[in-house]
Amino acid sequence: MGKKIKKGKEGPVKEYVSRTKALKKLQVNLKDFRRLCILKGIYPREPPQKLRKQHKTYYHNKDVAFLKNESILDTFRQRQAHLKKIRKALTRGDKLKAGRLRRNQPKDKLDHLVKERYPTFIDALNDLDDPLCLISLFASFPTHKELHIPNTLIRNCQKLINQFQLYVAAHHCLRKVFLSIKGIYYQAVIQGATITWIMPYPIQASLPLDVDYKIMMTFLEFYQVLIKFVNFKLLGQEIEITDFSEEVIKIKSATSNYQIDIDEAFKEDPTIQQLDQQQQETKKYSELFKGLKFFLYPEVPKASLEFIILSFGGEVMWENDNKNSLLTDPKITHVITERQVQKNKKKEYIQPQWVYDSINQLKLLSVADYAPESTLPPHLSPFEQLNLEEVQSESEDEDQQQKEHKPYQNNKKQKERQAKQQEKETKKLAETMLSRKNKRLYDMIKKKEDEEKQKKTKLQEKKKIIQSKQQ
Amino acid sequence: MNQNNTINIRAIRNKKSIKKDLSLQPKNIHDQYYQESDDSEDEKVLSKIGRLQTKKYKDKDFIGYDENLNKIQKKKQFQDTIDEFINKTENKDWWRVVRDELNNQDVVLNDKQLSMLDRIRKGKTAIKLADDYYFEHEDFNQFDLLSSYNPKRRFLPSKWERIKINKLVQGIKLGRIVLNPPQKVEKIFDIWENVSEDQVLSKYLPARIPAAKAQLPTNVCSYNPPEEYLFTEQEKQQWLQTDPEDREIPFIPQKFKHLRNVPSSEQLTKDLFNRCLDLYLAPRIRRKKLMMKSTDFLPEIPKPEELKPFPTKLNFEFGQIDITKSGQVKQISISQDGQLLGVCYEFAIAFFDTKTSKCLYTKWQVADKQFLGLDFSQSGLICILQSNGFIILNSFIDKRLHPNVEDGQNSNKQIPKNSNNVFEWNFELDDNVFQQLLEVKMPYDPLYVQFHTKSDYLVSTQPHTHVKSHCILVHCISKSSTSIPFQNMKASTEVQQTIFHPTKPELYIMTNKNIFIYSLTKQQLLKKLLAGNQQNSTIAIHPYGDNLIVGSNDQKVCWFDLDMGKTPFKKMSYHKNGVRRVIFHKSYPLFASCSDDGTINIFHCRISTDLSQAPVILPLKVLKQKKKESLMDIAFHPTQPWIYSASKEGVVSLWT
Repeated sequence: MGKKIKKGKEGPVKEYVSRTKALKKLQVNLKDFRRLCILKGIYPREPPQKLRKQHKTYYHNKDVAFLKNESILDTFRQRQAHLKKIRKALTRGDKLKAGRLRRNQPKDKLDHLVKERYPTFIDALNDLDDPLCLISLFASFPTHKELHIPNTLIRNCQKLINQFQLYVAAHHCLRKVFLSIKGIYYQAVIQGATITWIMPYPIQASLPLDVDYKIMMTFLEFYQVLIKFVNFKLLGQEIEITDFSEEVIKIKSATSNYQIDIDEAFKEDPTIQQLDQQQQETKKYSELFKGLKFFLYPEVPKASLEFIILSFGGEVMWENDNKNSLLTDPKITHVITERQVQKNKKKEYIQPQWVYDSINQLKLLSVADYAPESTLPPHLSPFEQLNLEEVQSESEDEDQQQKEHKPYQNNKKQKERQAKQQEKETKKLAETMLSRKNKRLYDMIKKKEDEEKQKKTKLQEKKKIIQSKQQ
Repeated sequence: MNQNNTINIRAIRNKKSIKKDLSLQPKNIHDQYYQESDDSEDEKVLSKIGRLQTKKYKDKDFIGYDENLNKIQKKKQFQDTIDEFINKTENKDWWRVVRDELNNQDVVLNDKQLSMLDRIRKGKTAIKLADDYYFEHEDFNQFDLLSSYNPKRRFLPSKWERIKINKLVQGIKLGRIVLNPPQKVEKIFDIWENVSEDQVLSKYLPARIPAAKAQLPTNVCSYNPPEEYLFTEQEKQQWLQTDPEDREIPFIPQKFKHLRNVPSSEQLTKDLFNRCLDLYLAPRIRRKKLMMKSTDFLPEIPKPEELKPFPTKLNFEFGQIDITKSGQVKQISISQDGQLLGVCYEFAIAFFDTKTSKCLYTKWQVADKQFLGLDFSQSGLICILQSNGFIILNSFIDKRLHPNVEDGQNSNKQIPKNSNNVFEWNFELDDNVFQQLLEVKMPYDPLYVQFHTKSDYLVSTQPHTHVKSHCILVHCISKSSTSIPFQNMKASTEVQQTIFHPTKPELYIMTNKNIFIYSLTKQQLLKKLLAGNQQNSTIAIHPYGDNLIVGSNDQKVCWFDLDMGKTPFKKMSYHKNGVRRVIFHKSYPLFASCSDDGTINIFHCRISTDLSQAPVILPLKVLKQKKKESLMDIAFHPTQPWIYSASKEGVVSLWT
């Protein structure tokens, strides 16, 4: 007989700690614990079923031990002591001292966290979606005293997102764009990592009050540091952006000479060929708007258009104080506007959607559909490609059917029907052949597929009805 | 006038309310202050609201009530803040304009009034007095009468202050105290420049699961979606009625004509906030996600067309004999060459020629005895079970076709009478076709009989014996003896059917729940198979001998692979009633089952000699009768893909 093992001493029980126990262990309050978790990127774990109790969150024991050694915890405690000093000074009426103390509050240093959470640069790039979204959201916010959103924070966010976009534009990393109801989605590929972020429209944002901004700001605190370092790594220096286009041109001129020239002998190596292919692909992206110059009217989202046009190789200008260049500039090929303006025959007049759609389809679309006075074709999501193809193939089928003669069609139809029935029968047979385990999986997946199919058919029916109405 | 006066005095006391009160006065305030004239006509209060606190009506549309208790409305000077702003830019004197709300007019303050206001703010009298200079320039402390002289300490520098200052000075010198510390500029550097393995903390931690990426927007989210994505009136109502948590799309899709028309939405902030909550509050689990289509699961099966031939439809029904006399069908069996079909009725045995469907011979039962079953042997003998025993007939129709018949006959002839036998063996040697060769009498009714492939041995099962060990009997014709292989049988075992293995010396005994495999040479139990059924009814062995099917009264057919284990390889429950019989085809990869629900299921079974490949079992066809009579027995044609079936009513039919 071995030693009797006491309850809770060994096995998976030992690995998990409930939140209250973790708080006790760390000797912090819930507010600080949350902040710590957010900054360190630690999240609750799901223990095995038998250990779980309802309405309880569990953390991994090692995670909590990891938090315990964190240097931020020290600053938490220092700050608490500092707050006490300020309170003391205030009750004594020593405003001067209180002010001085307030100014010299200990601040969290988050630099080491960046490296700890993302040991390599690629790790950081892979997890850049959320930081960029939040930063671009705060960049669009107005200052708010009651919600403690200071001006400095907003300025910093704007700076960071601009720097990042500068890199994306200068190196032609942008791949897809999408105008949604909420904002503009961008997708870029940087060093193989796909990064998607959303930017709100440049309208005065209204702040919903049922949202806890403190939590978002804690996230933002870390994200700012992260993006700061990412930007530095990407750009190689800190750039204060005053004119976006100028900076892009500067960077381009600095890097344009850099291109991999491959020796003839190595050209048949498959990896080299792949690299070559990649280069050609990026060239496609960088030369979509080459030689085009866009003039922006004030009602279009200037910053967004500038960013995407530059990153696809075009040029942008808008009405400055010196009005001489307005439209008389012979280099201007396209004018982006949403209002009906007096037209210059040499220039194309388009709505902003043309730019976004052309990018998604990677070709210059016909300008006529996007003229300011015409109703726009629907703007489709580039992230939903499957649907598009299906719709196209189906419409092709219909066309083919219409072309065929009727007598043949009947014969063919019958044959098709028979073939379909046979297929159905074999499918039924095969279903009976499934083992019980596979059958369950099969049923689950089939249910999902059927639901999707239903949705699609519903959409198509709706489309048909709409089309028939229009005709 | 009195009232006027009080107002003025109050105005001086209360700096805040001065603007309002001043506005009440006529322009020349200076004169008015001194000349206490009694005529109040100078001052015209247009709307008399009494002495009310105007603060209380600050937020309301009216300023108070007149003597008739009617509300006096406020009159807005400007439409909105923009108008006000424009006015400010145009009017240079806007800063000295004071609004008199009572009289609804603007009063422009002149310089004198302004200077008066200034004085009041500084805490001086409103108007310059003669003594003003005195108050402004003289020090009152000179006339401190209470303390006649200053103490010495007032003239000496303080020691303690000196000590304190010295400390501060020293601190500053040493750099301990920094008066205006320069703000630290945060350094930026390439943080990922040199990463060593030791610095990677995460490898000591539990595996980190990256958060799932946020969902990418679909066409519905577009500011200008295709028209079919927009809600109809009905869908909109439905959307509004569903709980916000259950909604498939968290917003109503909208179509905007221009990009500039898209309003700012709070949705994005809320979404990102929820995302933040998810990131730090939600536990993360790595779940396997199947990126498979449903069709990927389906095994590749040959089409039923390719598996032909198998019986698909009813060919014809045999001319039945008088059912009132013959009774129900008990069993059918087919001879090894496929020429004869034997049908066992309750009171008769009929033999049909399978080619012509003609009834060749009928044997009627005598007295109150019953026929219980029959089986053909390889060599052409027919064993017919009847009450209290069985008889054996010969079926030699054409002697030229059966050269080995003679041997069988001869062997029978040579058999000496065995006096030690338990049961009575009577030889009635007869050369004629369908004539009785021998009769064995037993004290109980055998239910099922099977010839061994060598046709010398018979195994008969009689479940309802009073001697339990006599359940299974093995008869040897050449020795004319009956042996009892299982002397010690448990009282609880209910043997249903016993069969020989086609090639090995093994005996398969099917009880209600299990199947036992006995070796006849070693005389021991080899294996026990668990079917898991409540009541097994029938068993059949594949001609190769590696596979087994068992039918049960609880509608199931189990396929056993003898190499695989105890439990069924596959269970098929396609019948809606108890299974009566299962059979294998001798030459085609087919097996069939018939049931009380009146259907025959035909299956394809492909068995490969490669052990790694599992047998392929495919349901092929369900043969349905027109009348849903329960089927008693089925039999495959030994060489053709045909199946014979016998229904309870005595209809024997052929399916091809």
